[in-house]
Amino acid sequence: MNLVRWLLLPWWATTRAMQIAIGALLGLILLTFGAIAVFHYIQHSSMPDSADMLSIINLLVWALLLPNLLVLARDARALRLPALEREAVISLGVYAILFIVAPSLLFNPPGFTTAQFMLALSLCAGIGMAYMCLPGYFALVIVIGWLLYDHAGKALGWPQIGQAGSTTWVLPTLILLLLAIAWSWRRVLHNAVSASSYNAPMILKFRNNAWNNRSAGIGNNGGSAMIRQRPNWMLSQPDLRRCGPEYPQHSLRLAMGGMFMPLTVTSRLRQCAFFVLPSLLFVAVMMLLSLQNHHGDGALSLWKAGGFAALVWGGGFGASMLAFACLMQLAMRWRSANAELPLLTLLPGLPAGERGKHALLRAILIPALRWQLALWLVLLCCMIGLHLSKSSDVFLLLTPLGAMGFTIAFVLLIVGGKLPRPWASTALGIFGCVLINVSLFIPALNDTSTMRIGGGSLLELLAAAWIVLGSVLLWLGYRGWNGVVQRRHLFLPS
Amino acid sequence: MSAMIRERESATTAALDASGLVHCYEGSNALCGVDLRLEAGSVLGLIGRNGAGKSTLIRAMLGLIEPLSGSAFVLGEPALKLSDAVKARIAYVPQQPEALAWLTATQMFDYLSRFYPRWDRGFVLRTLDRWQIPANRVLAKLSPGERQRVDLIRALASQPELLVLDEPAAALDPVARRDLLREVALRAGEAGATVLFSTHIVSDLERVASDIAFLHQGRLLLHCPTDDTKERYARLWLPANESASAPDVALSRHGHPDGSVSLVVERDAGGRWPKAAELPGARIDALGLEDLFVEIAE
Repeated sequence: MNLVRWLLLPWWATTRAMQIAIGALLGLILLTFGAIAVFHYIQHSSMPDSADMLSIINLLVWALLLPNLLVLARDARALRLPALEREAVISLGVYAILFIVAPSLLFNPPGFTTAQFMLALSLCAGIGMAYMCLPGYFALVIVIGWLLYDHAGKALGWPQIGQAGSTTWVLPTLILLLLAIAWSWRRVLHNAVSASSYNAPMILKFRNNAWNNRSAGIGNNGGSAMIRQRPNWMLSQPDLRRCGPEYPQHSLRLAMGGMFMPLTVTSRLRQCAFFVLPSLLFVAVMMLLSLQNHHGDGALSLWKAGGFAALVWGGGFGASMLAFACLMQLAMRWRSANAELPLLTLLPGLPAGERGKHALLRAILIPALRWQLALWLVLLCCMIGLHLSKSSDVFLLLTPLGAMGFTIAFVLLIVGGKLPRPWASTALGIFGCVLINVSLFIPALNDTSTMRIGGGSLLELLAAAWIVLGSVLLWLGYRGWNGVVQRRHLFLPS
Repeated sequence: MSAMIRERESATTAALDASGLVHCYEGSNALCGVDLRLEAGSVLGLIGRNGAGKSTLIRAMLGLIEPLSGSAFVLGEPALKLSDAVKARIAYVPQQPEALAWLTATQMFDYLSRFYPRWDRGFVLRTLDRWQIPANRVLAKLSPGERQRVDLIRALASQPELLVLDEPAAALDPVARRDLLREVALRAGEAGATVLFSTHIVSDLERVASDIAFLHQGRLLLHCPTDDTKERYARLWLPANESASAPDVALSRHGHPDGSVSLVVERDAGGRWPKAAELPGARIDALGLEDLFVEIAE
């Protein structure tokens, strides 16, 4: 039965690891939708409409599952299997009918005409597909575009998706996305781009094992494959001036590489620019729109809602991302037997014993924590500017502190050779992630003090969860510290 | 007390001294009580199949991993607690080196030269030029062969007294391999360096190794001077009717479909082959190093 084959084709074209990730994500979405339904039932409020849910599902299916057909088509062409290459395209068509045309005809969400709903779903599908089929830097364009639509569009009075007149901008955007996807599809099919190139579509980079750390990626030893993919002008320039036995901490940081490495001033500025420029771009766009709009208080509230929210989210998520990057990098360093560990073990001139252990911990923790601390301070400034409720302030400020707690505890565990089993680390990571996300959402919820879940209020439950997380991290940190003290030397692989 | 005596003894003679090393990975034994002593000034070739435990043995002997049991001494000091003075006399090149991928070769040498008191900058420049390595390209962007050569230069530039190379020729082309072997022979011959290197390539062993050690499934099966192997080991073939008389002690034993047996046997202290060699129909075949390796490893 060809139809079944076309439906299963993207699943077959997906790697096992990706299949597990998709399965987990779908499970999470179902749980989220279930939780939303329960929440709305408890609050006696109306359910989110089917249009939103279908849009999210479309976005995820076209971003996670269907781009694998591009890889399949490329491989089919390389293997001289034109029928399979055709089937990949047909499969795309089948999914378009199933996920865009059919829902548009079957469902009739309030406020949408069939054509408008079909366009809205197509736009979500196009965004998802473009995200994976275009080079990574297009993701930024997509995110900025979405923020412009979400924040500035409302202020400028652009017709929102589904409203009369929205076709004037949805249709051209959709056509642009489809043209970009077609261009990328053709480029990949004709082998005009290598998976290791900086311009490679995201799906090829994922397929190149960049995402699961097998041969590349953030946690890989120094990200060798990641370094290979970067053009020379994007490579970090190490500051070699203060290296040698007289500067153990600086030397150790250089040997750790990545985010720990001391950089030259130019290189540090360039690195900062990569992180700061997109944020500044967003802020500048928001300010410009506010000025053009001349809405007075409206613009001010827009600025507060958009700009400050971005800073708060950046602060909260930024600290978590920093912790994740630092720990992944370190875990791989302490797992790799052919890399820096043997070199550092046999390097003369580094301090030994307790002095050596302290120098190493300082070399690792200071670079990781100082950025997290900086983000915490940014967050603190935002708190002052936003005048939020006390509970929101407390929970928002806890988010970077939680990330710092994770960093300290897991650094000690990795270096001390006491890392828990992967399932335990993952479970704790997920718990921490959920807690940080929920805490970040607190200011967005109205009247949190009266929200009740089960027997207690939401805030009491959150506070209890933070206490549990803090206690677990404290215990893990103590366990890690014991490992550090007991180890014969700290460069033994975990 | 005995450890102290052992330490003192090791300090006098052995460059590397391991006894009773046991280690395992995820439940499977990598080393099963290995004893190995490497005398100063010798060139020991460590040979064995993939997964035999060569790299693990080298790492345990240098204190790069903590074995489950057993002890290892490097130039007389416990491997897990080496002083700076001893570290400055050792160089180790791992299999497929990956260290400091974010630096260029020039930056890496600049960095490391500050730690080694006897760093030979001239050698670095000469060899980089001779081996035509792009010194200003980050190591991650070099080919595996170039990366291995950079690491070999790094190891040799510190003018070590003990040079440990884990499959150093794995990624090298024949020209570079010959260059490396010449360098190793030169270091051992002229500078009196002690060298331990693991390899699959038997011809490399024959060319430079003064001693060989054969590791098989985590056990050291033989350790002797390279020149002695032909004299000391041979294949004993016994016909089917005499197969029951095969000696119990043998390095390997293979039964054939016709009922005959072949074994790798060793001369005893008096230089005699096992008695079974005198049985009617029995045959002793001399073995080259490669044949010996294949016979044992199969």
